[in-house]
Amino acid sequence: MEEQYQEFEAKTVDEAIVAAMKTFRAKFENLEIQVISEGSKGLFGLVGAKAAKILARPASRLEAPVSQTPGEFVPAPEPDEEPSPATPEDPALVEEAKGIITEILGRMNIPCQLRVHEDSTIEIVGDGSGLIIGKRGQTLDSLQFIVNRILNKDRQEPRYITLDTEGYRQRHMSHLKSLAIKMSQKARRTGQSVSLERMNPYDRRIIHLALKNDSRVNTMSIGDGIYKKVVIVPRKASK
Amino acid sequence: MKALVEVIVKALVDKPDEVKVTEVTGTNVNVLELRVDKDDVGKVIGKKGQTVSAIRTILNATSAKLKKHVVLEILE
Repeated sequence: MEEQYQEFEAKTVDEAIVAAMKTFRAKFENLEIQVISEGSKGLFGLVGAKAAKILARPASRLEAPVSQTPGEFVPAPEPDEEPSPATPEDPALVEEAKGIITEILGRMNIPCQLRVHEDSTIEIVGDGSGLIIGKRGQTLDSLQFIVNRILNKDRQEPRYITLDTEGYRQRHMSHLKSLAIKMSQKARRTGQSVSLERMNPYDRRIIHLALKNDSRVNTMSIGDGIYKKVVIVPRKASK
Repeated sequence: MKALVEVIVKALVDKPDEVKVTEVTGTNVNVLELRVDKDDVGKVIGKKGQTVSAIRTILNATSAKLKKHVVLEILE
């Protein structure tokens, strides 16, 4: 039995999608979403503010069972879509990494605790100030990069760890996914390519994967170096 | 700040004993001058400067509290 589309309204499309995910207790990937209006803040957020409206329903039940227990809202991605390199359980590697992180953060005068998650992600439990995250996650990414460089200095086969703090990685991923959806809507509506700002490879991968199964748009990376732009190209109408 | 750079760079290079950091304090800007062994310069800079920019980002995060700019320079 197919569920009917339900309408959601919120200040932004992102918030409306979150509301839809909560209502259906479904993951983002398991929802069919149509954006009716993107909403706008209006002039200085005062005049002419419009609400964002979307239609959403769970995707076909066969391939997307909603297995979560009621009331539990987990926008977790499919395991195979994890953008970070999968690290097999390796307690020694994690311990080594913890030592390096503790030493660096100590010198940064940031008091913190480290917590290791099941997927070997090391979470820095800080004061919640966002100092470790930095602008657009720059500081967290830099820290992760340096730690991985130090870890792999004398290793034949590189092994990588993922750093997280205050749930940033998860939050950032859902943000990127909704951005991908929003921009693909824009590309289709205007019939013109939409290019996103420069991103690192992991972020680009999230965008590509989010739109992989959307036959109405193509995605490609453009540019040189580590940071490239993702361009979303609408496909010619072919049904 | 100096100690932070030392810890990171010494862990990255092959000759940690050759790592020397001097801090030049100014009114608005502190300059950290980094010297490493000739063979280690590339390791500190990294592919397209990726490593040194990561170090600078971490330095900037640390110095944000101090309201002072910190500049890292690699001397040869």
